[in-house]
Amino acid sequence: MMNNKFVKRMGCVALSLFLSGCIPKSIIDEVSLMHYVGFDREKKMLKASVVYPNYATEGKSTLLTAIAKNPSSLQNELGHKSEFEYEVGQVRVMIFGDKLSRYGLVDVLDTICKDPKIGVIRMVISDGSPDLILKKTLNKSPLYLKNLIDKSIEDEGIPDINLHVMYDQYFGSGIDMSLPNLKLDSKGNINIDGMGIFKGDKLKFRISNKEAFLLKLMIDRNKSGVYSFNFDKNGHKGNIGVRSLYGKHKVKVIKEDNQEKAKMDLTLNIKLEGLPKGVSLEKERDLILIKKALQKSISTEAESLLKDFQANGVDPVGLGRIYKINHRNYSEQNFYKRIYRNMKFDVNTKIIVRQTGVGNIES
Amino acid sequence: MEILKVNVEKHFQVSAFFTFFLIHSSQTGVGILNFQNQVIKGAEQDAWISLIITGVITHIILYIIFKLLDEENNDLVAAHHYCFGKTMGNILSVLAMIYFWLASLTVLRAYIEVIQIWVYPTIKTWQLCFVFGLTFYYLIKSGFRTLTGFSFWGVVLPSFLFFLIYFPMKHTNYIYLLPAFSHSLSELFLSSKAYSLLFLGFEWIVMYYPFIRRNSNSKNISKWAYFGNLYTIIVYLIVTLISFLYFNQEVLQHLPWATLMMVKIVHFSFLERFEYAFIFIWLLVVISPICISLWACTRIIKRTFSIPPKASLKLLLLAEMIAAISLQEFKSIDHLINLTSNVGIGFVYVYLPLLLIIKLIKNNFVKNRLNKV
Repeated sequence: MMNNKFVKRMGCVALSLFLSGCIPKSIIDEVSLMHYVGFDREKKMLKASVVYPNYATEGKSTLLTAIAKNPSSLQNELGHKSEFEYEVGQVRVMIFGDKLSRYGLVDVLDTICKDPKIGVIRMVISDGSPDLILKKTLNKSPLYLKNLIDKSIEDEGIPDINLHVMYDQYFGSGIDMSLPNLKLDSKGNINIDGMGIFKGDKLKFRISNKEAFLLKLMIDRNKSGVYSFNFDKNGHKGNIGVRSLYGKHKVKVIKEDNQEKAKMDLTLNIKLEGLPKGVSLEKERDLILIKKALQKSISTEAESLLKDFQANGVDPVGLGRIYKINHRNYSEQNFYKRIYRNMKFDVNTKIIVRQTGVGNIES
Repeated sequence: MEILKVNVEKHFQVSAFFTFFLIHSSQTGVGILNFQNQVIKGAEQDAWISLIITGVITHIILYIIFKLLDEENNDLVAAHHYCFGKTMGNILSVLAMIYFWLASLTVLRAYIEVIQIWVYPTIKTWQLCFVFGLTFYYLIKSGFRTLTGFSFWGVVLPSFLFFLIYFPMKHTNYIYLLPAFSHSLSELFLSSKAYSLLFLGFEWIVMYYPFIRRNSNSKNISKWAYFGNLYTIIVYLIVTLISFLYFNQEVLQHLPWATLMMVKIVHFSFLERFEYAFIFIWLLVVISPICISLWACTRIIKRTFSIPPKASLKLLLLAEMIAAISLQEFKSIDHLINLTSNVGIGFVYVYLPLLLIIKLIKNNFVKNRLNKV
């Protein structure tokens, strides 16, 4: 005969087993796992385009678009067009179209912040409508766009921007948001073309790839990328590129002659890959010549980039944040109205030539 | 005069070393997942100083508790009887029991809220309550030694989560902590008050103190208790500093779940989103405070009314589940947390020192009378 206690216990076990059926389930083949989401503005409404791969039919990825007045009903609109339930947890890249970026991202950003399912994703803007870019990804492998952006950030001199950095710049006082810019080239390939610099949630202007690298040198810990410059000294001419391996940056805001001055020290460890005609590394003098020219070139270009930012009233470097450290009665408004406008910039670059490859470079 | 000293048989006791785990595991609950938002309200980036202030005050309270409990009066009920007599003492003990029950309810409901917000938005509260309730019943019924064992693993197993700080470390920026020491004392204390919610839980030692084996020197128990609190301070300090270095203050104001947001950056090639794993590993951590406080409730009932724990436990658990289910609006959970923290601060940081003073006065009084006789 069965023990009464035993029955009770087994009852509990069985009950808790049945209860697991209450958990909402999602089967991988029966959800639309979005990989990319693009947002843009169309007819004064918000337009979303999503790309999700079809794992079940082993086909290509699918692109769907929907238009709605607010981001929450956007998801609903998308749901009406799709066979399966949407899952935003696997989104890897979010693209904001040009129109929306200029109009302001605040509606979209606010909803992203409140959605716990969104991971630390890459955020980018695009030159035109995100649709065009997303269409190009349909024939590629599912994570093509994500890998493209990751690699550019890792090695090719684009500042490291993801959801976390974006929060930091968007909410943080004394710094402005900047997002990488995607573009289709004349042959229809996707490529990264500089950055978009924001003021608040609105796109202010764009900078080139080269300027994006200079910005990366000033804000990022990772400093790898290629810097090309025109060398013209002692009759030797040529355009050469140097690969920055790693380095350090130090930014200070000091007061000099009653004027605030941003002082920036860059230390770069570089690899020389080519030399202008007639320059030989055998000679100590030539090496110093190249180093000096490079240091000067980076410093002046960085200074002019900072002046550019200043003229546009944006601060993606976060000088306001650095100013705040030593000024207790700091206010963001006051800083950008009075101090930042008249700030002087001084960039000092120190170059250390670490490697020149394995051959004697001479030309 | 009737003395209510507890005599616990040796095979029900645990050794003094486990005080460390009991203290630490009853302090860590759900609060650590979202405390940043609260503690920066006063001292902003200097809130870590407030944490140290609260930690030191908690140390002092622990000292007070060990002064309060001695050979004769070795738990709260006995101390109440000694100070206030039987009727008054019982009333106070029941009030303390209500606070313990409230604390248990708060941790449970807050954890269910975390699951509902982060993982399963559509799951019903009663479903989780039912599963958890069975677990808690089983655990508490098995007695104090089982609870101790659970709190041991509840500290040891999740401790590997510490390695995760490697991931946010890569994105830290030291200037978020600057300018340091730029807040007034009143702002620091405001943050300290917010921190004290994180430290509550250690006070349950007033009920399980007799269950800890006293060796030749009674200092042993207090030593491990202090270590437990110290470890809590260190853990909180690390989490506070890392989250302050990872997020700037404005972001912390906008994102309430800073710790879980920080876990989002953890990323393995085989696991894209670690925060889901984190939330469920955290169940191991929250079980101890829920169960130890409920166990303390049954203890108080047994000591005051001589009702066996088996009966009272069922009642208490049922009441807790019903209360948890009846809290529906997210705001009401906020109110519950506020209420519990205020009551807890009152009980721990005000009432317990007061009780010690009353006891010392009474001691003096009794001694004088004895001398006269």
